[in-house]
Amino acid sequence: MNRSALTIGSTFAVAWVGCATPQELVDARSTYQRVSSGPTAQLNPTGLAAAKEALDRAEDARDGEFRSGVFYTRPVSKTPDLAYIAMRKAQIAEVEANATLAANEKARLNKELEQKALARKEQADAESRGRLDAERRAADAAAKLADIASVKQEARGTVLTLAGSIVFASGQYALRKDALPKLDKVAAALKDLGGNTFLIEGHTDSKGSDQFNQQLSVKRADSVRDYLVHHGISSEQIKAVGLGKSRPIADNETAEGRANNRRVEIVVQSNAS
Amino acid sequence: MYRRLVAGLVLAISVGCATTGAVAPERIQAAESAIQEAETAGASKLPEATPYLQLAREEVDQAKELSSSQYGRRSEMMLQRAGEDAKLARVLAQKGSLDADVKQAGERLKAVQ
Repeated sequence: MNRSALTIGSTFAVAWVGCATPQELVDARSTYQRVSSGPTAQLNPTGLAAAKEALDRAEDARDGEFRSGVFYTRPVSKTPDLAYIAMRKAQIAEVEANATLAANEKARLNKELEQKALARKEQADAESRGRLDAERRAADAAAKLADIASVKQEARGTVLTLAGSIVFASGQYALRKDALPKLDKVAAALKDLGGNTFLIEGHTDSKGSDQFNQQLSVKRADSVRDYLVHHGISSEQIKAVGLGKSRPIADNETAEGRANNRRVEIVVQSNAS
Repeated sequence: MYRRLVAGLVLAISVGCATTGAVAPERIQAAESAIQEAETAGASKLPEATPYLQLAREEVDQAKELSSSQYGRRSEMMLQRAGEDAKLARVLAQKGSLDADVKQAGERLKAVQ
C-alpha cells in the first residue's frame, strides 16, 4: 500500500467515524423515551410534543448530514446542538409536569388547611355560644336565687346562703315545712343552670361539741341535697359536705352572729370553660 | 492527484464552516431575558437549577464571541441552547418553590392535627 492510498483511507475512516450518531442525539433519544413513558405524557402533552418536534428536527439534521457526508464536528454539524435542545425540551416538559403535580398537591393541602381552619372557627364559635348561654343561664338563675336568699359571687363560684333558722328547727336536720317552697324555687333555679355542679355545705355556730356540730352540719347538708335531688337535680351534679363550726362568717359571741353562722351554702360551680 | 483530492475535501469543509453573519441583537437579548427570568424565579439560589443557569450564561458569552467571528450559525445555535438551559433553570426554580410550599403546607397541616 503506497502513502497516497493510506492517506485517502484514513480520511474516509475519519469521515465514517464522524458520521456515527453523536452522543447528544443518543442522550436526547434516551431522555425523550424516559420522559414520554412517564406521567409527563398525560400531564404535559404540549411540552412533550415540543420535545418530540425538536427531536425530529435533530434526527432530520442527522439524516441530512449523513446523506450529504457532512462530518459531525462542530461548528459544521447542527445535529449535536439540535439534539441538545431536544433533550432540554424533554427535561423541561418533565419538570413542568412534576410542577403541576406539586401545584395540585399544594392546592389540596391548602384546601384541607382551609377546611380545618373553618372547622376550628365553627367549633370556637359553638364554644363561645355555649359559654354565653351558660353565662346567661347563670345570670338568670342568680337573679332568681337572689329573690330567694343571699347570693354572692366568689372565686369558687356563685354562693347561695340559706339561713339555718329558716330551713331547720333548732338542733334538727329535718327540713321545716315552711322552708319547702323556698327550696322548690332553689331547685327550679338550679335546674336552669344545666350542666353546672352544686356543692351543699352545712355550717353551724360554735355552741355545742365539735362532734355534734359536725354531725349536724353533715345531716343538714344531706337533707338539702336529698330534697333537691328529689326535685329534679341529678345526684351526679350535687354533693353535700358538713363543715361544722369551722367556717364562721360572723361573731359567735353574739346571738345575731351565731344565727348567721348557722347556715346552708349552695355553691354553684360552673363547668363552662 | 491524491494530494489535490485531500486538499479539496479540506477546502469544502472550510467553506462549510465559514458561514458568516452576526446574530441579531434581539436574539441575544431574548436569551439574556430568559436568563433574567430564571434568576427572578430564584434559579441562582436553587442547587438543582444553578448549573443550567451557569451554562446559559456561558452559552450567551460564547454566542457573542462567535457572532463577531465567521461562525454566525453556530452563534445562533448557542443562543437557542442558552434559551433552553435558562428555561430549564427557571422551571426547576419554580418547581422548587412549589415543593417548598407543599412541605410548608404539610407541616402546617400536621401542626393543626
